[in-house]
Amino acid sequence: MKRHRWILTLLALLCCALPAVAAVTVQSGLQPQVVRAGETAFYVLSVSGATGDVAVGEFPKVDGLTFASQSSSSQSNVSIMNGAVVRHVRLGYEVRADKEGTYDIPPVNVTVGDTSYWTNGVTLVVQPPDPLFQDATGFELDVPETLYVGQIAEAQLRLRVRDGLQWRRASELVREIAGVTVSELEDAKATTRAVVRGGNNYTEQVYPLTITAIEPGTHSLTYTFDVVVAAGRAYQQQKLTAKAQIKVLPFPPGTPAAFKGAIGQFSMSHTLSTDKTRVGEPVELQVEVSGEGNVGQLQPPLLGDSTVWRTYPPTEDFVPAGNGVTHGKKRFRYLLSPTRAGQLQTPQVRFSYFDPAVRQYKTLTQEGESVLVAAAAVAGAPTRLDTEPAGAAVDPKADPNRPHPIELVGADTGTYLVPAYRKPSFLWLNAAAGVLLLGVTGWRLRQRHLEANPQVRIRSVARRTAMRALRKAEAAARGEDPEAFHIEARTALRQAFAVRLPSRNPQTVTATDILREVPLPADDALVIRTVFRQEAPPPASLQAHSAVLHRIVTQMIRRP
Amino acid sequence: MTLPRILALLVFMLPGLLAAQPMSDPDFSAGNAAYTQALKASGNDAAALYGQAVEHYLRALQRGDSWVLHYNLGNALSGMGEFGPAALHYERALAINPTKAEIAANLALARRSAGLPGRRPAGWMEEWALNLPLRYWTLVAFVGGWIALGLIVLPPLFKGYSPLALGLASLGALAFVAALFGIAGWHQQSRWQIVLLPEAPLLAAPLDDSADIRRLPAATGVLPERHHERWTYVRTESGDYGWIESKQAEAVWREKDEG
Repeated sequence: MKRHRWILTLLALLCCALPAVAAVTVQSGLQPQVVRAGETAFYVLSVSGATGDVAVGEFPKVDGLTFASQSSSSQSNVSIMNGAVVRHVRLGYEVRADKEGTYDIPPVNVTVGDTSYWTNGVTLVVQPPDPLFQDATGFELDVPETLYVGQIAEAQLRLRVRDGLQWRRASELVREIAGVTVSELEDAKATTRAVVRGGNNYTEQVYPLTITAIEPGTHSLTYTFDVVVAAGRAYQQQKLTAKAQIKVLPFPPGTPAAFKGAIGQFSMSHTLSTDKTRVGEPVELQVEVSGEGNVGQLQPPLLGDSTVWRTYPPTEDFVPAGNGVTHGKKRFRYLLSPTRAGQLQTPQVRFSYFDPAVRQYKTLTQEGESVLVAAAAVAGAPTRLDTEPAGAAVDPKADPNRPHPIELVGADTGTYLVPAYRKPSFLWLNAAAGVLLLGVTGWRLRQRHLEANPQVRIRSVARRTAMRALRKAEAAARGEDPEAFHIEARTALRQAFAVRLPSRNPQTVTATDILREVPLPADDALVIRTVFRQEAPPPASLQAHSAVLHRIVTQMIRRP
Repeated sequence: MTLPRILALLVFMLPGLLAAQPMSDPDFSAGNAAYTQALKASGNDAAALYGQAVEHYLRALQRGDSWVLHYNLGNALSGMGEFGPAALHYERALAINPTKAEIAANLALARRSAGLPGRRPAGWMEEWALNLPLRYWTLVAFVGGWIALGLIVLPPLFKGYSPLALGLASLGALAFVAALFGIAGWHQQSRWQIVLLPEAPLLAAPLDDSADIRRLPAATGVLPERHHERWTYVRTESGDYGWIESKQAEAVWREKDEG
């Protein structure tokens, strides 16, 4: 009997446990079951008493209905029933019909653990849309069709609600973005404006966005959120979706050396802090790039190579303008330190960017500025080249870095920078010296020659004396002075004779000596005799006598 | 300064020193005044005053060369940072008066400021030449040469060679030979040209778009080898060869009297 009681107890426990294991129910329903076209209903799938995992099979395709993904209304509870862990799962799916009609949704397969179940079929009645809320809203995403990698562009998200309706958000904004980054929606930056569409007046809220292209390819952007639109006591929840496509292009080939990803339209200018400095004392070169594009992300322009400037990485700051993202200017401050003195040119500045409007690379170039660089200050020496007072005594050996002062007392001026040996005066001077030396030499040689040959000297003296006397006699003849003519004529004839016979004393020479030495015609001989007899010829014949005398004397002194 | 040099200076410079009068050129005085004011000024004022001094000195130089004018002009140009032209005028001052140590020192300073060694490489003849100005070497050669020639040629025509004549002839000949080397040294010096502007391109070919061999600092000395249109083929003081634009360098010496 005891044994039978034990078996009965075991059977009773088993009977209680079996219902708990077998009580898995799967149900489906619609909330609400009647909607207007364009509105959303929830397809709710409930699984109770599941002890294993719940898997929902594929939804059947129903023409005219759109099933969305599992909504946020899905929930799952766990409880312990009769010592077993039991799950109650409620899954909600959005279902939307755009056209009026009656839609039968067939059963859906649900697997609980290893067991397969089917839900019940449900029917959704879609009524015509409420004319009150027809075209009540609009939601649009306005983006550029194409962008280049790295390009920043402006975009707009526009929410439009017909005037006279009230609205509020019914869900968070959900966005699906790939290949690009988009700035967050900021209510503070939204602007409101009135627009007219289809004859209706709307109030449109415009949210500015900034899109940065990241990856090449064609990408979709989707913004979704629910709004509740109300007019009086009537209201409707609407799901708003804004979609757009954007094509991101890679950069074309032929990238310039100075290109560092700048895209847009830019201009460049630069300023230099000073045009005078000293070796080792840097100057600040400020380069300003302004325009439209990815201004905030601009990399520093490229400085040209320079052996005379030491450059340092620049500091930079961004001054926004317009929307604060794609407009503005970026300033780069370079420190340039001269390594030597002189009139130096700062390095060239180059900035390359890609202009998407013309799809070309462009390079802006700014030539260097001229900077006067003085020598470096030397320890213990003045820091300026020109601080020496004029007239100060400076020992260049003591300090070669100090300049000597100017001279306050002048010196004589002249054409000193033309070499003297190129001047004509130098040639003339040398010619004169040469002539002088030659003259002295010639004169001395002549002297020596005369010293060595006395007869030559006597002849020379006699010749000169004879010629001198002849000229005087001729003058006397022209002056019709017979006495003077006779005196000079005799002297001339005697000296001329001495030229022929130097050994003879000229004072003792007679007419006979002459006529013996020089054969003369009778008329000429008569003239000689007349001269030596001291007979005064008539004045009229003086000229004829003078002519004869000239002929005789020149004949006698002629060199053999 | 060596004793022979002092003696030579006394002998050959005495007439010049006696004849030299303190310069009364108003531009010289005005240039000095502007330069002195520039030393006390700063910034743009100093630059303007240096510029005035340069103008006055240049105007005075139109009336004749003087080492003082070139030297002071070099100082004013250095004050403006124009080290190329400053070196040119220091070189000219040195050519007129190579015995003035201040000129050589300031020239070295200007060259160092331009990024060059203090002195340009020079051969022994050029070094020798620096002992006297060229005009004095020329005078020594003239006097020594003719004395030597005269004392060699003339004594046999008179009383024969005496020890005094022979001694003087030897001295004259020695002075003549020494002066010839001095003149030759200055002749070499006179070929140098000075680069006026910094970063003057030394080109591989006489073309505007030719590749740079290197950039020449201001005050670099170059020796012209030949010319082609507006280009000059030069050897730089560092031994590089290439073409520069002719106007970028100016000769220290002049071919002829420009006045």
